[in-house]
Amino acid sequence: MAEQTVTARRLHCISDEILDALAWTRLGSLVYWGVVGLCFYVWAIAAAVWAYQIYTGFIVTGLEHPVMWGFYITAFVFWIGIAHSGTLVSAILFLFRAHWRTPVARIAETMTIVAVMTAALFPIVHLGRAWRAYWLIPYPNQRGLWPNFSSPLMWDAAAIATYFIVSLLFWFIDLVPDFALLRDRSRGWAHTLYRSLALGWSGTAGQWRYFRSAYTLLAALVTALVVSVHSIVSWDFAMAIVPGWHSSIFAPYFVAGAILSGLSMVLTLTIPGRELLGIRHYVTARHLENIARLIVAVSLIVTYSYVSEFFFAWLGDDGYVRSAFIDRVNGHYAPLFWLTIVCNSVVPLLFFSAAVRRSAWKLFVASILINVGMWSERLLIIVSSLAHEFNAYSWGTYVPRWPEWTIVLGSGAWFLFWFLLIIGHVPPVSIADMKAHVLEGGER
Amino acid sequence: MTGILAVFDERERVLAAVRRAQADGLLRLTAYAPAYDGELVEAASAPPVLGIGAFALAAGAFGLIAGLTLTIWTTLQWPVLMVGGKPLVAMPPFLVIAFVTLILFAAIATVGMLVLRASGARPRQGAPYDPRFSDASFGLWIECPPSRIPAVTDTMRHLGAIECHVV
Repeated sequence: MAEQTVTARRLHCISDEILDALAWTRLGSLVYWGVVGLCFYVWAIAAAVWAYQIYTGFIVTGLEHPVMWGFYITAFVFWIGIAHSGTLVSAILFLFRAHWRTPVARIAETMTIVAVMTAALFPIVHLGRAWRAYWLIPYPNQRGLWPNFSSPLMWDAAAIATYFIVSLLFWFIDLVPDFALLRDRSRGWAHTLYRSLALGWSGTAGQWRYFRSAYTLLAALVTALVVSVHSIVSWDFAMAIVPGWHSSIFAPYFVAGAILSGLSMVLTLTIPGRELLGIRHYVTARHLENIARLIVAVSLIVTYSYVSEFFFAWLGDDGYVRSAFIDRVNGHYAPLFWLTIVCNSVVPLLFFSAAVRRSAWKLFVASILINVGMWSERLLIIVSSLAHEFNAYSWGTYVPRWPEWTIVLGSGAWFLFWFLLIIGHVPPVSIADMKAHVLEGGER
Repeated sequence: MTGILAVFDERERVLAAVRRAQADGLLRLTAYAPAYDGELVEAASAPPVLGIGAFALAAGAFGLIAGLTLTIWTTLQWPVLMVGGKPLVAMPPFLVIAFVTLILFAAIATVGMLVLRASGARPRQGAPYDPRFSDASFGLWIECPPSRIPAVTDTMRHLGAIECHVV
């Protein structure tokens, strides 16, 4: 066979290097399987605590009048927020032809799918009778009852189920050409598995035509869905007349917050991930810096939303709303408020400094702080508003108890468990997209 | 059916080979690439009469109607559930569900049509496939009568094919 040309060598090298990343997940790898096993252990404990909560009832939690939505609903909104950035980064940046997205898109999309899986647990965990969660599904039944589609909770169920399905399709379609490569390089049961996942892909010009057309269309659909789904999540709150919730700014405010938390989680996962997977050649400092730039922009939008909330509370003539916002700043939940401001509005400003943007460990620390800030923001919005409603006689406080802490921490382990399991068994960077970039004349 | 499978390792070479084959009247050909290449796709495949977008649009319209039908019909099954002073058939909340079903149906139709169309765009019956095409090599399968095989082989080699197989 003739010696390979430069292009062929580069394409071959991309296949080899990215597929090498899968080597660390082989059965002999103690680090990988140790971490996966630890995550399984932690979420198994959380599952046992959930079973205990079902058995004893919600008396074991800190949920009581007037705060009936606490850690679980906060976790739901937090994880949905994380879920929204992955596909958004991938889809919107694809539509804008931002080629730098390619190396981080697969990790971001995988994060999305797993985060939706995590978020979807919490409405069920929050149910006293969790086994009746199926009542949300519209199906003919002997009681002749259908779900109430005027309820924002039904919108939520429909939107999140759809978001999961469409994100999964978007993620899977992008993987098909890579599965074909794995099929052609594997033997035995792995070959059989990858052959079925590759859906008969052979890389003909006609197949690439349909692939690109479908992928672009899905990216557009996903983008519309991302914006709508987190708006719908915000309407769970905004449709209620609770002071601090009943605001028309909630939809864009939540969408911006979701993007901020999602981008931060992409950094949190990518920075150690690129070392462990050995894909530093692909996910470079430039990619991390670009994500940091996006974070600055989105953080400014989120800060504007914070200011707007307070401005309208001051401008409006509603004493209840004004009281709720004053309580946020100097009441029982004031530490959460100031933590939110520092983490979400001040820390991202550090990214104006090139020295911070170009330092992986500083980005990593900042991304964790922003995630802490986003969690505290969600908790603040949900809990402080319920704790400080119209009647001063019924004001109260919410203190989570150990079952809530365990289940919420367990959800983090559940998230990592599935993320590691999936990203360890599919190419962590889209091989076909990287090759397409080389064919277009770009650097890898 | 006879033909030649030529293997290339540069996109410019396979592109030149496609154009040359078409100029020579050899129109029954299949080009393979390890990644999307707009120029090669345009040169070696014809756009469909009805694109995937048309099916997605139709499915989206169906999803919109299905969402509205589901919400309105189920509400009318038990016409006593008045919530928050809203009319029984309240379009704003129902439109949220209808929008979601629109996107869902459009996305499923997009992927369904991709699978169907891509299976139709597989190599022609009996056309060979080389595993290198998913890695780093380009391929061109040209159907031609046995009498033209030597000439076509020479042309492909001249245009930079690293291997030519008569099938």
